[in-house]
Amino acid sequence: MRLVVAGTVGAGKSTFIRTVSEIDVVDTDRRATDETAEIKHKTTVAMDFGRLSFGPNMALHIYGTPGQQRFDFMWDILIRKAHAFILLVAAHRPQEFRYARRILSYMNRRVQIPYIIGITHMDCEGAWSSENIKLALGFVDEKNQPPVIVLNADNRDTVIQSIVALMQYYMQRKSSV
Amino acid sequence: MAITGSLSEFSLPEIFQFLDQGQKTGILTIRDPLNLQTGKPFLRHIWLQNGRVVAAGDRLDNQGLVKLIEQRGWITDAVRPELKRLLQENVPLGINLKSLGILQPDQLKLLFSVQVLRQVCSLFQVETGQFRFDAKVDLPKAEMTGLSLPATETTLMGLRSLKDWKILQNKLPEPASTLFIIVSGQLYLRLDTVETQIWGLANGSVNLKKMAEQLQVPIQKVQQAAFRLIVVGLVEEVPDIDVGVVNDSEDIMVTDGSPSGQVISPSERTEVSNSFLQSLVGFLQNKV
Repeated sequence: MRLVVAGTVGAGKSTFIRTVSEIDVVDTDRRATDETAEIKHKTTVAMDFGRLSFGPNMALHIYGTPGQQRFDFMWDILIRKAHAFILLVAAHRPQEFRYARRILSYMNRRVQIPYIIGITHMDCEGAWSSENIKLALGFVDEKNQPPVIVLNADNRDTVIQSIVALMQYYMQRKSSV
Repeated sequence: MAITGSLSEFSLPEIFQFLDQGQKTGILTIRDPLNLQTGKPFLRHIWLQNGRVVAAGDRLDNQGLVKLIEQRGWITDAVRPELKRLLQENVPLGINLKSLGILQPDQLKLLFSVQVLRQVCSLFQVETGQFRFDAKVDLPKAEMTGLSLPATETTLMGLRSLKDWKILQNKLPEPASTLFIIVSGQLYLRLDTVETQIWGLANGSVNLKKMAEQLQVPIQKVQQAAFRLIVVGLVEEVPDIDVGVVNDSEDIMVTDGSPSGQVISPSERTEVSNSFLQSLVGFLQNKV
Protein backbone atom coordinates (compact mmCIF):
# COMPACT_ATOMS: atom_id res chain seq x y z
CA MET A 1 0.00 0.00 0.00
CA ARG A 2 1.25 3.47 -0.81
CA LEU A 3 0.82 6.42 1.46
CA VAL A 4 1.91 9.91 0.43
CA VAL A 5 2.91 12.51 2.98
CA ALA A 6 2.27 15.93 1.48
CA GLY A 7 2.43 19.29 3.16
CA THR A 8 3.80 22.76 3.41
CA VAL A 9 7.46 23.64 3.73
CA GLY A 10 8.72 22.92 7.22
CA ALA A 11 5.59 21.03 8.30
CA GLY A 12 7.62 17.92 9.09
CA LYS A 13 7.13 15.58 6.14
CA SER A 14 10.65 14.13 6.14
CA THR A 15 10.67 13.93 9.94
CA PHE A 16 7.31 12.12 9.90
CA ILE A 17 8.65 9.42 7.60
CA ARG A 18 11.95 9.16 9.43
CA THR A 19 10.14 8.72 12.75
CA VAL A 20 8.08 5.75 11.65
CA SER A 21 10.08 4.02 8.94
CA GLU A 22 11.74 0.72 9.80
CA ILE A 23 14.40 1.36 7.21
CA ASP A 24 16.72 4.31 6.95
CA VAL A 25 14.76 6.82 4.99
CA VAL A 26 15.92 7.29 1.44
CA ASP A 27 15.98 11.04 1.29
CA THR A 28 16.91 13.57 -1.33
CA ASP A 29 17.80 16.45 0.94
CA ARG A 30 19.71 19.25 -0.66
CA ARG A 31 20.65 22.75 0.26
CA ALA A 32 17.71 25.01 -0.27
CA THR A 33 18.36 27.87 -2.67
CA ASP A 34 14.98 29.47 -3.33
CA GLU A 35 12.53 31.09 -0.92
CA THR A 36 12.60 27.81 1.02
CA ALA A 37 16.11 28.76 2.15
CA GLU A 38 14.58 31.47 4.32
CA ILE A 39 12.78 28.73 6.24
CA LYS A 40 15.24 25.85 6.31
CA HIS A 41 18.80 25.13 5.43
CA LYS A 42 18.02 21.93 3.56
CA THR A 43 14.90 20.66 1.88
CA THR A 44 13.68 17.62 -0.01
CA VAL A 45 14.17 18.09 -3.71
CA ALA A 46 12.70 14.90 -5.12
CA MET A 47 11.06 12.73 -2.50
CA ASP A 48 11.56 10.79 0.73
CA PHE A 49 10.82 7.10 1.02
CA GLY A 50 10.20 4.98 4.08
CA ARG A 51 8.70 1.56 4.74
CA LEU A 52 6.78 -0.39 7.36
CA SER A 53 6.62 -4.17 6.91
CA PHE A 54 4.15 -6.16 8.96
CA GLY A 55 3.86 -9.58 7.36
CA PRO A 56 4.89 -11.71 4.40
CA ASN A 57 4.51 -9.49 1.34
CA MET A 58 2.73 -6.88 3.41
CA ALA A 59 4.26 -3.46 3.64
CA LEU A 60 3.25 0.16 3.81
CA HIS A 61 5.36 2.35 1.55
CA ILE A 62 5.48 5.96 2.57
CA TYR A 63 6.48 8.67 0.14
CA GLY A 64 7.13 12.27 1.01
CA THR A 65 6.58 15.01 -1.54
CA PRO A 66 9.23 17.59 -2.38
CA GLY A 67 9.64 20.56 -0.10
CA GLN A 68 9.38 23.45 -2.51
CA GLN A 69 6.13 25.01 -3.58
CA ARG A 70 6.35 23.89 -7.17
CA PHE A 71 4.07 21.18 -8.50
CA ASP A 72 6.53 19.49 -10.82
CA PHE A 73 6.55 16.07 -12.45
CA MET A 74 7.57 14.39 -9.19
CA TRP A 75 4.12 15.09 -7.75
CA ASP A 76 2.50 13.26 -10.60
CA ILE A 77 4.79 10.25 -10.16
CA LEU A 78 4.17 10.12 -6.41
CA ILE A 79 0.40 10.39 -6.43
CA ARG A 80 -0.19 8.19 -9.45
CA LYS A 81 -0.37 4.98 -7.45
CA ALA A 82 -1.05 6.40 -4.01
CA HIS A 83 -3.90 4.90 -2.00
CA ALA A 84 -4.17 7.67 0.56
CA PHE A 85 -2.36 10.76 1.73
CA ILE A 86 -1.85 12.86 4.78
CA LEU A 87 -1.51 16.60 4.44
CA LEU A 88 0.77 18.05 7.10
CA VAL A 89 0.23 21.69 8.03
CA ALA A 90 2.38 23.66 10.45
CA ALA A 91 0.06 25.42 12.89
CA HIS A 92 2.35 28.38 13.44
CA ARG A 93 2.89 29.27 9.79
CA PRO A 94 -0.31 30.86 8.43
CA GLN A 95 1.62 32.07 5.39
CA GLU A 96 1.59 28.46 4.21
CA PHE A 97 -2.16 27.88 4.53
CA ARG A 98 -2.76 29.16 1.02
CA TYR A 99 -0.28 26.64 -0.36
CA ALA A 100 -1.94 23.88 1.68
CA ARG A 101 -5.24 24.76 0.00
CA ARG A 102 -3.55 24.53 -3.37
CA ILE A 103 -2.19 21.09 -2.52
CA LEU A 104 -5.69 19.94 -1.58
CA SER A 105 -7.20 21.37 -4.76
CA TYR A 106 -4.49 19.72 -6.82
CA MET A 107 -4.83 16.34 -5.13
CA ASN A 108 -8.62 16.28 -5.09
CA ARG A 109 -8.87 17.13 -8.76
CA ARG A 110 -6.28 14.59 -9.90
CA VAL A 111 -6.79 11.67 -7.52
CA GLN A 112 -9.89 11.09 -5.44
CA ILE A 113 -8.30 9.19 -2.57
CA PRO A 114 -8.92 9.37 1.18
CA TYR A 115 -6.83 11.81 3.16
CA ILE A 116 -6.52 13.31 6.59
CA ILE A 117 -5.02 16.57 7.80
CA GLY A 118 -2.13 16.35 10.26
CA ILE A 119 -1.43 19.52 12.20
CA THR A 120 2.13 19.91 13.46
CA HIS A 121 3.97 22.45 15.62
CA MET A 122 0.90 22.98 17.77
CA ASP A 123 3.22 23.73 20.68
CA CYS A 124 4.96 26.59 18.86
CA GLU A 125 4.37 30.25 19.56
CA GLY A 126 1.65 31.73 17.39
CA ALA A 127 0.11 28.34 16.61
CA TRP A 128 -3.46 28.52 15.36
CA SER A 129 -6.12 26.22 16.80
CA SER A 130 -7.28 23.16 14.83
CA GLU A 131 -10.67 24.76 14.30
CA ASN A 132 -9.19 27.89 12.81
CA ILE A 133 -6.74 25.98 10.64
CA LYS A 134 -9.60 23.90 9.22
CA LEU A 135 -11.40 27.11 8.39
CA ALA A 136 -8.31 28.67 6.83
CA LEU A 137 -8.00 25.55 4.66
CA GLY A 138 -11.53 26.08 3.41
CA PHE A 139 -13.42 23.51 5.48
CA VAL A 140 -16.58 25.31 6.46
CA ASP A 141 -19.07 22.47 6.61
CA GLU A 142 -18.54 20.17 9.62
CA LYS A 143 -20.14 17.26 7.78
CA ASN A 144 -17.85 17.55 4.80
CA GLN A 145 -14.42 17.50 6.39
CA PRO A 146 -11.65 14.93 6.53
CA PRO A 147 -10.38 13.84 9.96
CA VAL A 148 -7.92 16.26 11.53
CA ILE A 149 -5.19 14.98 13.84
CA VAL A 150 -2.71 16.96 15.89
CA LEU A 151 0.67 15.30 15.86
CA ASN A 152 4.33 15.80 16.56
CA ALA A 153 6.37 14.52 13.62
CA ASP A 154 9.22 13.69 16.02
CA ASN A 155 6.97 11.60 18.25
CA ARG A 156 6.54 8.02 17.11
CA ASP A 157 3.29 7.43 18.95
CA THR A 158 1.48 10.41 17.47
CA VAL A 159 2.80 9.65 13.99
CA ILE A 160 1.57 6.06 14.26
CA GLN A 161 -1.79 7.22 15.60
CA SER A 162 -2.18 9.49 12.60
CA ILE A 163 -1.48 6.62 10.20
CA VAL A 164 -3.99 4.46 12.10
CA ALA A 165 -6.56 7.25 11.79
CA LEU A 166 -5.90 7.44 8.06
CA MET A 167 -6.25 3.67 7.64
CA GLN A 168 -9.51 3.63 9.58
CA TYR A 169 -10.81 6.49 7.47
CA TYR A 170 -9.71 4.62 4.36
CA MET A 171 -11.66 1.54 5.44
CA GLN A 172 -14.69 3.68 6.23
CA ARG A 173 -14.60 5.30 2.81
CA LYS A 174 -14.05 1.97 1.12
CA SER A 175 -17.06 0.41 2.78
CA SER A 176 -19.32 3.33 1.89
CA VAL A 177 -18.60 3.11 -1.86
CA MET B 1 -7.59 32.75 22.11
CA ALA B 2 -6.63 35.60 19.78
CA ILE B 3 -5.27 34.99 16.29
CA THR B 4 -2.28 37.14 15.51
CA GLY B 5 0.13 37.46 12.66
CA SER B 6 1.76 39.61 10.09
CA LEU B 7 -0.09 40.92 7.04
CA SER B 8 2.86 39.89 4.91
CA GLU B 9 2.23 36.27 5.98
CA PHE B 10 -1.55 36.14 6.05
CA SER B 11 -2.95 38.88 3.85
CA LEU B 12 -6.01 40.97 4.58
CA PRO B 13 -8.07 39.30 1.83
CA GLU B 14 -7.26 35.92 3.39
CA ILE B 15 -8.15 37.21 6.84
CA PHE B 16 -11.50 38.46 5.59
CA GLN B 17 -12.18 35.19 3.80
CA PHE B 18 -11.42 33.34 7.03
CA LEU B 19 -13.66 35.63 9.11
CA ASP B 20 -16.51 35.51 6.59
CA GLN B 21 -16.50 31.75 6.05
CA GLY B 22 -16.18 31.15 9.78
CA GLN B 23 -18.98 33.64 10.47
CA LYS B 24 -16.75 35.09 13.14
CA THR B 25 -17.75 37.77 15.62
CA GLY B 26 -15.15 39.96 17.23
CA ILE B 27 -12.64 42.74 16.65
CA LEU B 28 -9.91 42.75 14.03
CA THR B 29 -7.10 45.20 14.74
CA ILE B 30 -4.57 46.20 12.12
CA ARG B 31 -1.50 47.91 13.50
CA ASP B 32 1.59 49.25 11.83
CA PRO B 33 3.98 51.12 14.13
CA LEU B 34 5.58 52.82 11.16
CA ASN B 35 3.38 53.00 8.12
CA LEU B 36 5.58 53.10 5.03
CA GLN B 37 3.30 55.48 3.19
CA THR B 38 2.76 58.10 5.90
CA GLY B 39 5.65 57.52 8.27
CA LYS B 40 3.17 57.63 11.16
CA PRO B 41 1.81 54.83 13.35
CA PHE B 42 -1.29 53.22 11.87
CA LEU B 43 -4.14 51.62 13.79
CA ARG B 44 -7.56 50.45 12.71
CA HIS B 45 -10.24 48.41 14.44
CA ILE B 46 -12.86 46.53 12.46
CA TRP B 47 -15.79 44.93 14.21
CA LEU B 48 -17.48 41.89 12.71
CA GLN B 49 -20.65 40.05 13.57
CA ASN B 50 -21.16 36.60 12.06
CA GLY B 51 -18.61 37.35 9.35
CA ARG B 52 -20.12 40.72 8.44
CA VAL B 53 -18.35 44.05 8.94
CA VAL B 54 -20.51 46.20 11.22
CA ALA B 55 -18.21 49.07 12.26
CA ALA B 56 -14.70 50.41 11.88
CA GLY B 57 -12.60 53.10 13.50
CA ASP B 58 -9.33 54.10 15.07
CA ARG B 59 -10.56 54.47 18.66
CA LEU B 60 -12.11 52.33 21.36
CA ASP B 61 -14.00 54.98 23.36
CA ASN B 62 -17.36 54.55 21.57
CA GLN B 63 -17.13 58.07 20.21
CA GLY B 64 -16.13 57.40 16.62
CA LEU B 65 -19.59 57.24 15.03
CA VAL B 66 -20.88 60.10 17.19
CA LYS B 67 -18.03 62.30 15.99
CA LEU B 68 -18.87 61.50 12.36
CA ILE B 69 -22.51 62.43 12.94
CA GLU B 70 -21.56 65.66 14.74
CA GLN B 71 -19.12 66.64 11.99
CA ARG B 72 -22.03 66.64 9.58
CA GLY B 73 -24.11 68.80 11.86
CA TRP B 74 -26.78 66.14 12.22
CA ILE B 75 -27.02 66.40 15.99
CA THR B 76 -28.86 69.38 17.40
CA ASP B 77 -28.60 70.55 21.00
CA ALA B 78 -32.15 69.40 21.54
CA VAL B 79 -31.26 65.85 20.63
CA ARG B 80 -27.97 65.72 22.51
CA PRO B 81 -29.38 64.48 25.86
CA GLU B 82 -31.26 61.73 24.01
CA LEU B 83 -28.06 60.78 22.20
CA LYS B 84 -26.23 60.43 25.50
CA ARG B 85 -28.88 57.97 26.68
CA LEU B 86 -28.86 56.02 23.40
CA LEU B 87 -25.09 55.51 23.64
CA GLN B 88 -25.67 53.32 26.69
CA GLU B 89 -28.25 51.10 25.04
CA ASN B 90 -27.59 47.63 23.78
CA VAL B 91 -28.92 48.39 20.30
CA PRO B 92 -26.88 49.73 17.36
CA LEU B 93 -26.89 53.51 17.65
CA GLY B 94 -27.92 53.93 14.01
CA ILE B 95 -31.05 51.83 14.47
CA ASN B 96 -32.13 53.89 17.46
CA LEU B 97 -31.44 57.18 15.70
CA LYS B 98 -33.45 56.02 12.69
CA SER B 99 -36.39 54.81 14.74
CA LEU B 100 -36.52 58.16 16.57
CA GLY B 101 -36.42 60.02 13.26
CA ILE B 102 -33.15 61.74 14.15
CA LEU B 103 -31.40 60.21 11.13
CA GLN B 104 -32.78 59.03 7.79
CA PRO B 105 -31.79 55.78 6.03
CA ASP B 106 -29.77 57.70 3.41
CA GLN B 107 -27.79 59.41 6.15
CA LEU B 108 -27.02 56.05 7.76
CA LYS B 109 -25.85 54.68 4.42
CA LEU B 110 -23.53 57.65 4.04
CA LEU B 111 -22.18 57.16 7.54
CA PHE B 112 -21.58 53.46 6.88
CA SER B 113 -19.83 54.33 3.65
CA VAL B 114 -17.50 56.78 5.38
CA GLN B 115 -17.01 54.82 8.56
CA VAL B 116 -16.64 51.34 7.11
CA LEU B 117 -16.24 51.20 3.35
CA ARG B 118 -13.74 53.99 2.96
CA GLN B 119 -11.66 52.99 5.99
CA VAL B 120 -11.69 49.25 5.37
CA CYS B 121 -11.06 49.48 1.64
CA SER B 122 -8.01 51.65 2.28
CA LEU B 123 -6.62 48.91 4.53
CA PHE B 124 -5.86 46.82 1.48
CA GLN B 125 -3.15 49.37 0.62
CA VAL B 126 -1.31 48.72 3.90
CA GLU B 127 1.92 47.01 3.00
CA THR B 128 3.29 46.03 6.39
CA GLY B 129 1.73 45.56 9.77
CA GLN B 130 0.36 43.12 12.27
CA PHE B 131 -3.17 41.86 12.72
CA ARG B 132 -4.97 40.54 15.73
CA PHE B 133 -8.43 39.05 15.90
CA ASP B 134 -10.16 38.72 19.26
CA ALA B 135 -13.39 36.77 19.30
CA LYS B 136 -14.30 37.27 22.91
CA VAL B 137 -15.36 40.91 22.82
CA ASP B 138 -18.66 42.74 23.14
CA LEU B 139 -19.57 44.61 20.01
CA PRO B 140 -19.67 48.39 20.51
CA LYS B 141 -23.30 49.22 19.74
CA ALA B 142 -22.43 52.93 19.93
CA GLU B 143 -20.21 52.51 16.87
CA MET B 144 -22.75 50.60 14.80
CA THR B 145 -25.04 52.14 12.21
CA GLY B 146 -27.12 48.97 12.00
CA LEU B 147 -25.82 48.34 8.50
CA SER B 148 -23.34 45.63 7.64
CA LEU B 149 -21.52 44.03 4.74
CA PRO B 150 -20.06 40.53 4.36
CA ALA B 151 -16.32 40.66 4.89
CA THR B 152 -15.73 39.14 1.47
CA GLU B 153 -17.79 41.83 -0.27
CA THR B 154 -15.61 44.39 1.44
CA THR B 155 -12.61 42.49 0.10
CA LEU B 156 -13.97 42.67 -3.41
CA MET B 157 -14.43 46.42 -3.17
CA GLY B 158 -11.05 46.95 -1.58
CA LEU B 159 -9.15 44.85 -4.11
CA ARG B 160 -10.89 46.43 -7.07
CA SER B 161 -9.55 49.81 -6.01
CA LEU B 162 -6.07 48.54 -5.18
CA LYS B 163 -3.49 50.19 -7.42
CA ASP B 164 -0.29 48.52 -6.28
CA TRP B 165 -0.52 44.73 -6.09
CA LYS B 166 3.07 44.04 -5.16
CA ILE B 167 2.15 43.19 -1.56
CA LEU B 168 -0.09 40.41 -2.84
CA GLN B 169 2.15 39.27 -5.68
CA ASN B 170 3.14 35.97 -4.05
CA LYS B 171 -0.49 35.16 -3.26
CA LEU B 172 -1.73 35.45 -6.83
CA PRO B 173 -2.68 32.26 -8.69
CA GLU B 174 -0.13 30.93 -11.14
CA PRO B 175 -0.58 31.57 -14.86
CA ALA B 176 -0.53 27.81 -15.46
CA SER B 177 -3.32 27.14 -12.94
CA THR B 178 -6.95 26.63 -13.80
CA LEU B 179 -10.01 27.65 -11.86
CA PHE B 180 -13.02 25.64 -10.76
CA ILE B 181 -16.30 27.12 -9.58
CA ILE B 182 -17.05 25.97 -6.04
CA VAL B 183 -20.41 27.57 -5.36
CA SER B 184 -23.73 26.31 -6.54
CA GLY B 185 -26.89 28.22 -7.17
CA GLN B 186 -27.26 31.85 -8.04
CA LEU B 187 -24.34 34.22 -7.81
CA TYR B 188 -24.98 36.63 -4.96
CA LEU B 189 -22.12 38.97 -5.75
CA ARG B 190 -22.02 41.53 -8.52
CA LEU B 191 -18.91 40.94 -10.61
CA ASP B 192 -17.15 43.37 -12.90
CA THR B 193 -16.55 42.64 -16.59
CA VAL B 194 -13.24 40.81 -16.31
CA GLU B 195 -14.37 38.89 -13.24
CA THR B 196 -17.53 37.78 -15.07
CA GLN B 197 -15.51 36.65 -18.08
CA ILE B 198 -13.10 34.67 -15.91
CA TRP B 199 -16.00 33.18 -13.98
CA GLY B 200 -17.36 31.96 -17.30
CA LEU B 201 -14.08 30.20 -18.05
CA ALA B 202 -13.66 28.65 -14.59
CA ASN B 203 -14.33 25.08 -15.72
CA GLY B 204 -10.90 23.58 -15.26
CA SER B 205 -10.04 23.39 -18.92
CA VAL B 206 -8.56 26.85 -19.56
CA ASN B 207 -5.59 28.06 -17.57
CA LEU B 208 -5.11 31.71 -16.64
CA LYS B 209 -2.52 32.28 -19.36
CA LYS B 210 -4.96 31.04 -22.01
CA MET B 211 -7.73 33.13 -20.46
CA ALA B 212 -5.57 36.23 -20.85
CA GLU B 213 -4.95 35.39 -24.49
CA GLN B 214 -8.59 34.63 -25.15
CA LEU B 215 -9.87 37.74 -23.39
CA GLN B 216 -7.03 39.92 -24.69
CA VAL B 217 -6.34 41.14 -21.18
CA PRO B 218 -2.86 41.36 -19.58
CA ILE B 219 -2.05 38.23 -17.56
CA GLN B 220 -1.54 40.32 -14.39
CA LYS B 221 -5.10 41.60 -14.63
CA VAL B 222 -6.40 38.06 -15.06
CA GLN B 223 -4.39 36.88 -12.06
CA GLN B 224 -5.70 39.75 -9.95
CA ALA B 225 -9.30 39.17 -10.96
CA ALA B 226 -8.90 35.43 -10.39
CA PHE B 227 -7.46 36.16 -6.93
CA ARG B 228 -10.53 38.24 -6.13
CA LEU B 229 -12.81 35.37 -7.14
CA ILE B 230 -10.74 32.97 -5.04
CA VAL B 231 -10.75 35.01 -1.84
CA VAL B 232 -14.48 35.66 -1.97
CA GLY B 233 -15.00 31.91 -2.18
CA LEU B 234 -16.40 31.63 -5.69
CA VAL B 235 -13.65 29.59 -7.31
CA GLU B 236 -10.64 27.54 -6.32
CA GLU B 237 -7.25 27.51 -7.96
CA VAL B 238 -6.09 24.13 -9.19
CA PRO B 239 -2.37 24.18 -9.93
CA ASP B 240 -1.09 22.56 -13.06
CA ILE B 241 2.12 20.58 -13.12
CA ASP B 242 5.07 20.87 -15.41
CA VAL B 243 5.10 17.39 -16.88
CA GLY B 244 8.46 17.13 -18.58
CA VAL B 245 7.75 13.83 -20.31
CA VAL B 246 4.24 13.09 -21.49
CA ASN B 247 3.13 9.59 -20.60
CA ASP B 248 1.29 8.01 -23.49
CA SER B 249 -0.31 5.39 -21.25
CA GLU B 250 -3.94 4.71 -22.07
CA ASP B 251 -4.75 5.01 -18.40
CA ILE B 252 -4.38 8.79 -18.43
CA MET B 253 -7.61 10.52 -19.38
CA VAL B 254 -6.93 13.88 -21.00
CA THR B 255 -9.63 16.44 -21.58
CA ASP B 256 -9.39 18.82 -24.51
CA GLY B 257 -5.68 18.25 -24.78
CA SER B 258 -5.11 20.60 -21.88
CA PRO B 259 -2.90 19.36 -19.04
CA SER B 260 -5.11 20.85 -16.34
CA GLY B 261 -7.97 18.47 -16.93
CA GLN B 262 -6.01 15.29 -16.33
CA VAL B 263 -7.47 12.87 -13.85
CA ILE B 264 -5.33 9.92 -12.91
CA SER B 265 -7.17 6.70 -13.60
CA PRO B 266 -7.91 4.54 -10.54
CA SER B 267 -6.77 1.45 -12.50
CA GLU B 268 -3.16 2.51 -11.88
CA ARG B 269 -3.68 1.79 -8.21
CA THR B 270 -3.56 -1.76 -6.85
CA GLU B 271 -6.52 -2.92 -4.81
CA VAL B 272 -5.98 -3.09 -1.06
CA SER B 273 -7.91 -5.79 0.75
CA ASN B 274 -9.68 -5.35 4.06
CA SER B 275 -7.57 -8.07 5.64
CA PHE B 276 -4.45 -6.14 4.65
CA LEU B 277 -5.83 -2.98 6.21
CA GLN B 278 -6.92 -4.71 9.39
CA SER B 279 -3.52 -6.37 9.73
CA LEU B 280 -1.84 -3.01 9.25
CA VAL B 281 -4.02 -1.27 11.82
CA GLY B 282 -3.46 -4.10 14.31
CA PHE B 283 0.28 -3.97 13.74
CA LEU B 284 0.38 -0.19 14.21
CA GLN B 285 -1.78 -0.20 17.33
CA ASN B 286 0.61 -2.69 18.91
CA LYS B 287 3.48 -0.31 18.30
CA VAL B 288 1.93 2.54 20.26
